Amino acid sequence: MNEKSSDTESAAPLEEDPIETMKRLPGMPIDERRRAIELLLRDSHVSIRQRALAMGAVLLSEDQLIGYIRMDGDDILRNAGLEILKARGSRSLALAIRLLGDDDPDIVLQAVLVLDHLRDSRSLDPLRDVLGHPDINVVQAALLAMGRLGDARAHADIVRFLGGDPWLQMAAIRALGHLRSQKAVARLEKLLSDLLVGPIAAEALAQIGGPRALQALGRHWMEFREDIDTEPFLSQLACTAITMKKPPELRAGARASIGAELDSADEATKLSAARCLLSLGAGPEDQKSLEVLIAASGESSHLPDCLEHRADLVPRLLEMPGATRAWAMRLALVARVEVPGERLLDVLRTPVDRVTVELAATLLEKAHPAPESASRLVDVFVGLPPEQRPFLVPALKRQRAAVQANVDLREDLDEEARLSVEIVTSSRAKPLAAWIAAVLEEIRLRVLPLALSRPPLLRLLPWGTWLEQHPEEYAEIAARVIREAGLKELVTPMRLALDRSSQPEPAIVRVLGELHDRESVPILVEKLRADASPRLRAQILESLGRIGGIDARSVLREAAGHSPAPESRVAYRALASCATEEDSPFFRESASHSDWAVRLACVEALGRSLASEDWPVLVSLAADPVAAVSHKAMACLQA
Amino acid sequence: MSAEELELLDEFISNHFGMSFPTHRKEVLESRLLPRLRETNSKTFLDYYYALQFSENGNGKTEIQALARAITNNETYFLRETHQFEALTSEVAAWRKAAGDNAGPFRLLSAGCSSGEEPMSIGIHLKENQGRYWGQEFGFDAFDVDPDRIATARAGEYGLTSLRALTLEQRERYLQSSGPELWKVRPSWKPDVRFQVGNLLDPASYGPSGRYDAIFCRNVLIYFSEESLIRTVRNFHRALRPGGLLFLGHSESIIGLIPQLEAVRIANCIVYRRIA
Repeated sequence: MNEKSSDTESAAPLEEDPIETMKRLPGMPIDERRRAIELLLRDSHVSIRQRALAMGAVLLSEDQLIGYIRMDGDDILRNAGLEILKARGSRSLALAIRLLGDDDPDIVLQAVLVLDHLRDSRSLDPLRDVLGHPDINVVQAALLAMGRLGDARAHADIVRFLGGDPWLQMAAIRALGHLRSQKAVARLEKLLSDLLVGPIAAEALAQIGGPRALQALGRHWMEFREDIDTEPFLSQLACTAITMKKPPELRAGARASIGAELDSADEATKLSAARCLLSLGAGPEDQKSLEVLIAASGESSHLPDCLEHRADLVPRLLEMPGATRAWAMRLALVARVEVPGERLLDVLRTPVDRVTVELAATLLEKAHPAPESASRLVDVFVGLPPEQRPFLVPALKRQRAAVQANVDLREDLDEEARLSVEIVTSSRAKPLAAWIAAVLEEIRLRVLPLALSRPPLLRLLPWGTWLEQHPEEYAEIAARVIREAGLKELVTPMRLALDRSSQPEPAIVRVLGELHDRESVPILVEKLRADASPRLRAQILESLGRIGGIDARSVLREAAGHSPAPESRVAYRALASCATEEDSPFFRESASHSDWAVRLACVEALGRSLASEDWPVLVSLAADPVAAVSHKAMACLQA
Repeated sequence: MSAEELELLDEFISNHFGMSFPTHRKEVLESRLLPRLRETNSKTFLDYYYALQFSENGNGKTEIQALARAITNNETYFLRETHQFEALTSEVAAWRKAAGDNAGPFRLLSAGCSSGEEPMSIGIHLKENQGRYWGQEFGFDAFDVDPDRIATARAGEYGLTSLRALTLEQRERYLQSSGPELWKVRPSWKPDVRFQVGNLLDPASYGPSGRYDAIFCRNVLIYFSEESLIRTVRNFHRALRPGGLLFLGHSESIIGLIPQLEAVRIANCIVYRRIA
C-alpha cells in the first residue's frame, strides 16, 4: 500500500452533503466506505469526524494508517492516523512499539503518544529505551507515558530527570505524580519553592497523597502562603486529606491560617478552604466550614467527599435544614453510626423528599426503638404519601405489637390509615382480605402495594373480579403482585382480561410478556390484527419478542417486513430478542437497512449465533456510522 | 439509560426540536426525563420512548409539549450580550438612510425567545437609540417551542432572575413593579411583540419567505445536531430578506455551513448576512 493515499493528494471537496453520505454508508461496499471516511475526516462537524474515526479504526489497514501518520503535508490525515491508532486499542500495541525505532522523530513521538493512550504495561521497557532519544519532545512524552503506566519499576528512570533540563524536569515531576510514588515525596517537597515547577510539584504531591505528602504541603503552606496561588493549593491540600481516614496533624497554626480563607471574597477559595478543613478532621472551624459547603452544594443530597470520614458530624448535620439531613444519613450508613430512632422520626415529620425518606427508613431498621415511639412511628407512616409508605414497613414490623396497641387506642386515624397499618402488622389474613375487598376502590388501590410482601393475604383477594371489571385500574398492581409476590396464579385472570377486552391495558400485555406466557400468544396475535392502537401494538410486539417461539417469531417477521417505520423497528427489536438460527438469513438481509435501530437489532440477533457467514456482516456493522450499532458489533466480534 | 435508549430518545428529540444529546450529555438528559417517566408511569426510558412515539394524537401531543418543557434550556435575562444590539442599531440606521422615506417597518424575529426577555431587550435598546433613525417603525415577532414560556412572555411579568444583568437605574428606567418581586416593562418602553408557539425546525413558524430584516437566535443552536442545525439555518436563510442579518450567540458559528449566509463584521460583532 502506498504511504500516501492516492485519493488524498487531490483532496477534492466533498460533493455530497456529509449527512447524506453518513446515511448511505451502511449500504456502501467496504472500499467505497474507506474513501468516504477520508472525506468525512475533513468535515467541519466534530461529531461527523468522530464517527469517521471510529469507522476508520475498523476498516483501515495498518499500512494505510502508517501512511497517514507519515503525511507531513496533510495535518488532518496525520492527526486522524494517530487518533485511529488510539481508537484501535490493544491492536495497535505491536505497531506502536515497532514505530519507536523509526528514523523520523515525529513518528517516534506519535508512537509514544499511542502507547501513552494504551497504558499497557508491556510498553514499559520499550519506553525506557527511548529515554535516551535525541529529540526532547520524545523524551518528555515517554516520561509522562511511563508515569501513567503506574508501574513502580519506572521510578528510578524518572527521578534521573529531576535535576536536568527544565522541560524534562516538569515532565518527570508530573510522571512521579501519576506514578503515586511515595519515594518521591522528599524530593518533590524540595521543589515546592521553585518558581517554575513549584505548582506542578504541589499537584504531584496531591496526586501521590498519604500522610507525608500532606505534611509536606502543610509545611509549604505555612512558609510560603503569601506567595502561593491560594485556591488551587488549598484544593490540592483538600484532595490529599480527603483520601485519609485520619489525616495527620499539620504544623501549629496551619488550620487557623486556612480558616482565615473562609472569609475570602472569592467563593472558590472559600469552598476549597472549607473542604480542606473538614477533611482534616474535627476543629473549631467546622460550623463555618459546613455553612460554606452547604451554600455551595445547593440541594444536592450526595454526600460531599470531604465529609466521608467525619462520622462525628452526623448529629450536627441532622439538625441543619435541607439536603444536609440526607448527608447525615448517608454518612451514618457508610460509617455505621446508629442514629436514635426518635431523631429519625423527627426528620420524617417534616416535609422531606423521597431520597431522605428512604435513607431514614434504612436507618430506622437498625435503630433501637423506644417503646413509646410507636405512636410517633404511626403518625409518620400515615403522614407519608402512599407511594413512600412501603419504605417504613420494616420499621413497623419490628414494633408490631406496640404499633397495633397504639392504633387500637386511637380515634384520630381514618379508615385508610388503620387499614394501612393493619396490612403491615396484622397476622389475621382473612378478616384483612375482607376489609380490603369492602373498602372504597380509591383507598384499596392506595393500600394494596403494602401487601406485596404477604402472598397468603394476596391470594385471598378477588383479583379475577377486579381485573374483569376494572382492568385499567388493577392491571399495574396485579402485574406487581405477579412479579414481586410471585403469585403466578394471577396469570390466568390476566390472560382472561386480555382476551375479553377490546382495548387491553398495556400493563397486562407487558407482564404476560415478562412471564414468557406462551398461552397468551394466540390472544396477543389476535389483538394485534384487530387494529389495536399504535401504543398497544408496540407493547404486543415487544411481549411477543419476550415470549418467543415459532408462532411469535413468524408474526414478528411479518410485522418487521411490512409495518410502517416506527412499528417495524419494534418488531425487529422484538424478533432479535427471541431469534434463532432460522432467523439469521432475515437479519443478514436487513443489515444494510437505512434505519440504525434495525441494524442494531441485526447485531443483536447475529451476534448471538456468530455463524461464520455472519462475520462479514458484523464487520460491516462494526464500521457503522451510529455509535450504538458499531460498539455493539465490535463487542460481539471481540467476544 | 442504555446506549440504545439514548440513541432513540436523541433521535426523537432531534427530529422534533433540533436539540442533540450526545453521549457526554446523557446524564443531563436522564435527569430532565426522570420526572416525565414518573408522570407517564413509564418503567424504563424505552417505555417512555414508546409513549412518545406511539401515543394517540391527544396524549402524544401533550407529552411532546411536556418533553419540550423538560429539555429546553430556558436560561435568559434582560440585556444579554448587548454588543449585538449595537450592531443592530448600526444596521437599522444604514438601512433607513438607504431606504429614505420609502422605508417600511423593520421586521425582527426572536427565534427561540423563551419568556420574551430578548425581544423586550431589543425593543428597549432600539427605542433608546431612536435618534439615529427617527420615525422608524419596527415589527417584532417571537416564537418558542415551549408553550409555558410563551404564556409567560405574553403575560409580560418578570422575576429577579430575569433582571440580574440590569443596574438599579436601568430597572427603574425600563420596568415598573407589578407585584412582590415581579416587574413589567413600562408601556413607554415596551415593544409590541407578537408571541407564538413555534419550532425552529418548522418553516411554517417563520411565515412568508423574506419577511424579516433581522433574526436573533442566540445560544440555542449549540445544542443542535448537525442535521438539525442545517435545517434551521436554511429556515433562517429563507425567512430573511436579501441583505438581512442573522444574529447568533457569541460562541456559535455557522461559517461555511451554507454559502448564502456570509459572515460580516458590524460594530465589532460577527453577524451573518443573507447574500442576494
